[in-house]
Amino acid sequence: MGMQLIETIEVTDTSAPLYLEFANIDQDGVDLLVTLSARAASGTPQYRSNYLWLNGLSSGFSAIRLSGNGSSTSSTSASNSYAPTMTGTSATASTFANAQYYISNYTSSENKAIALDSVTENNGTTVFMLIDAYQWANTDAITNVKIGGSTTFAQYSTASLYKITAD
Amino acid sequence: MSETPVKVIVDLSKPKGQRESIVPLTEDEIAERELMAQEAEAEQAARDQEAADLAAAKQAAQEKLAALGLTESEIAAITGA
Repeated sequence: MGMQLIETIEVTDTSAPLYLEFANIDQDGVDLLVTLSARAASGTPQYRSNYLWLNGLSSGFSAIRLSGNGSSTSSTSASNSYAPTMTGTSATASTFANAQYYISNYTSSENKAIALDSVTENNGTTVFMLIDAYQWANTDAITNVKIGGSTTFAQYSTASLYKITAD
Repeated sequence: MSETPVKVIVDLSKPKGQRESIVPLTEDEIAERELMAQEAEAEQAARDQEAADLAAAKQAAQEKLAALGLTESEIAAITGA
């Protein structure tokens, strides 16, 4: 298996985007890996959440989540792709959450399996860590990945798209 | 900071160096975002309530153990608190 960086988006000081999007993804890989380093530009919580869209759709997701928030742990299910993958402005300055979406068999004509591993960062007790196992009930090949939706991304937030190949 | 919500798109069908653009959200995206904001608020409230319920249950359990005569260190030994 090989791993190849396709493209990175870095948020500039002026753009303040709500969404980061990779469009027209080549269909010559096996899996996709999306890494996210994210901090919110506004809002006071210590962590914020983002949605994942595939092919422009935020529907069709179901998930099981194992999580911890610094004071408790839980196991929950969800019917959306909404997940805390962003450090909030109340967290320690200049800290960024890191998250990885691993999308298996993204060109297949079957439903897709997706793993999300994320931790928001904070030099304090409150931090949200999670591992999600998703099913995306859609048989279309994935050509578009978009992340965002809770609040705007702060400067230096980045999203990178990698292609996992069979060779 | 822009007043109009924007997104960064990387169009991978274009040559490197010409892929990235910053575009305003579509009306559909703005409408969807408003719905999602409501959903997000509800989910955050549910998560906060879940954490508050757990903390309250933990406190109640510790008080019941104390009422049975356990010391603080004995409670900590069996609960990890």
